[in-house]
Amino acid sequence: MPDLNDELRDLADEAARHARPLPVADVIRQGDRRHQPAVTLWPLRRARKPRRATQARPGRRWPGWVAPLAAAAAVIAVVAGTAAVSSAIHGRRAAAGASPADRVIAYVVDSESGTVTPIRTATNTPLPPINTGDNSDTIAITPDGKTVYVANYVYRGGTVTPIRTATNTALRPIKTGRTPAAIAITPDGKTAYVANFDSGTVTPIRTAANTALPPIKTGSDPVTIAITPDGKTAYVANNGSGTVTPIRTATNKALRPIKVGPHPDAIAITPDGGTVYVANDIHAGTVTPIRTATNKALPPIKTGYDSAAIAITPDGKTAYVVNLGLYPKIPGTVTPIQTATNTALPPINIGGLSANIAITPDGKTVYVPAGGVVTPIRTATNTPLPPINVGGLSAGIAITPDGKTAYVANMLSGKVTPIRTATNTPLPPIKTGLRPIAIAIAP
Amino acid sequence: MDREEFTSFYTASFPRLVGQLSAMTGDRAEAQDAVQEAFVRAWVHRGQIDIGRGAEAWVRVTAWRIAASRWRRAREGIRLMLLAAPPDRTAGPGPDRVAFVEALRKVPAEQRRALVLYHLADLTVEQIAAETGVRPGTVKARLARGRAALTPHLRETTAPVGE
Repeated sequence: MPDLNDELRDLADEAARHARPLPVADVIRQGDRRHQPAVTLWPLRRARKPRRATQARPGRRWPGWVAPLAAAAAVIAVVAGTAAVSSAIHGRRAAAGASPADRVIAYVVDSESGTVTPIRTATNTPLPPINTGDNSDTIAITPDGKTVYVANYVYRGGTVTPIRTATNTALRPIKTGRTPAAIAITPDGKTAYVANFDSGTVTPIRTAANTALPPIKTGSDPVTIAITPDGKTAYVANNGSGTVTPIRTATNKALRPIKVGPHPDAIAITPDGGTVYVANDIHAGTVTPIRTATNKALPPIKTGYDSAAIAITPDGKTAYVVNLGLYPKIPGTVTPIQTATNTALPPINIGGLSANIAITPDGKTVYVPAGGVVTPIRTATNTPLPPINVGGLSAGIAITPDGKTAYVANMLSGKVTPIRTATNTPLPPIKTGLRPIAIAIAP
Repeated sequence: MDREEFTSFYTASFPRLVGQLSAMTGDRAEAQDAVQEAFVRAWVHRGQIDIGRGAEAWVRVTAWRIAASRWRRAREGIRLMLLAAPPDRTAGPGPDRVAFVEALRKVPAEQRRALVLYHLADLTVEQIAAETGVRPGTVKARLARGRAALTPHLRETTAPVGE
């Protein structure tokens, strides 16, 4: 009878025999294409303070852009959820002087070069990139638009870099737990919650002083966070445990975890704060609704292969779930869920694989980037419009508060493509780094 | 590590690492993708990697990070970026091994990782502790729990399952 050792060895040997390495020349070419420090991309017009360039501490530059298309999912929930807040701030800014549209900046996180590139949305011009640290991949902006938080994945560690939007300068990074995977900010802007994937904790950060509070224990592999519109509860999806941990923000105490499906990976809350939708991502995709009044899970709703992102319309009537698919066999789809009855409508084909979605502030159109195209879906009829060609591999997406422009990050070309939503036409792409992955827009 | 050294390291280590990662993840296609991407990064970071056993551990740790569940989506992206032929997903494990693979997938990831490092990579408990960033006591506990979970699923096991 074989023992465990033999069994493991046989399994590994069989896999090793089937290994199909790329030609070594391709591996080297791939690597060489990536190995360009961000600093060399941008001739700075005037001398600034010496940059904390990544090459200054080469020892810490471990595994590269691990972070994924995932980052944007969290961002999108924030963007969609705070549309109303954004426009309110908008008004206030307008009273202060300059035209509000001139002030709107899209912040593009680059997963490879450890930078954030601001883009002036009025003119679609990039500003000089801001160094944030290693392997940045997740971004969130305070509701007042004053501070951007970017999570940095450092080997066996993690930090969050605040950026002051008034000057577009990075402040001192705040130490978090290991592998910060998501950031969510309370509607009052006072606290940012950071999910530490490898520590199984959430670190609250007081935004006034940018200081970290003691970490709160969650389940294993916390991967994404959503906060109720009243700011009272943060819901944390634990990818490893198949649970969601509610955290009371007043006391920063974790409540009893709620069992959902396997590998929850995306989370969104209805604008009325009544229901949390959790996408469970492995293989047979489902979405689990949780009633916030009781913190009880309702029966899961069947979606598509590998549900990976959710966004809810501003009227709260429909939750759109992106099903990643399995390249190249199973195409990506979007499943609309009627929130009144928690029933899934037929899936809409989006052409390629996707883990990102954004909804216009008026709730009329959903944009789903997949592969080299972005598919607009009319929410009134749930019909896809002709796909917009952006080329390459589209990842993160964000829409301006006025709803006029959608920005799509392209991980192959290192550029961001603006899309005019009125006509669904792409504008000339903007170079932002090597591997832009997530975008958030500050009003 | 120069180009020549990298080439021989890549050629020699790739299949072995795919084997180890397959056992760690319970998914051959995912293991292949993760190891492929890890080698691209190894080339990028070749200046910091020592040739020899250290290099293989570097790639293994990196591949493990990539294979961790959160980064499944990244791997789909990686596959597109590498423009590699999709791996053969039809060729799964042999029928007598399916039950074992199923059982393996149910074991918590860190236990699988410890088992593979111990049984396949021939590391000591101390070395595993160093590679996985936990105390040796934790490694021992993971090994014991992983073994207990898998033993009932070994092939040709006819003894009744249970205490």
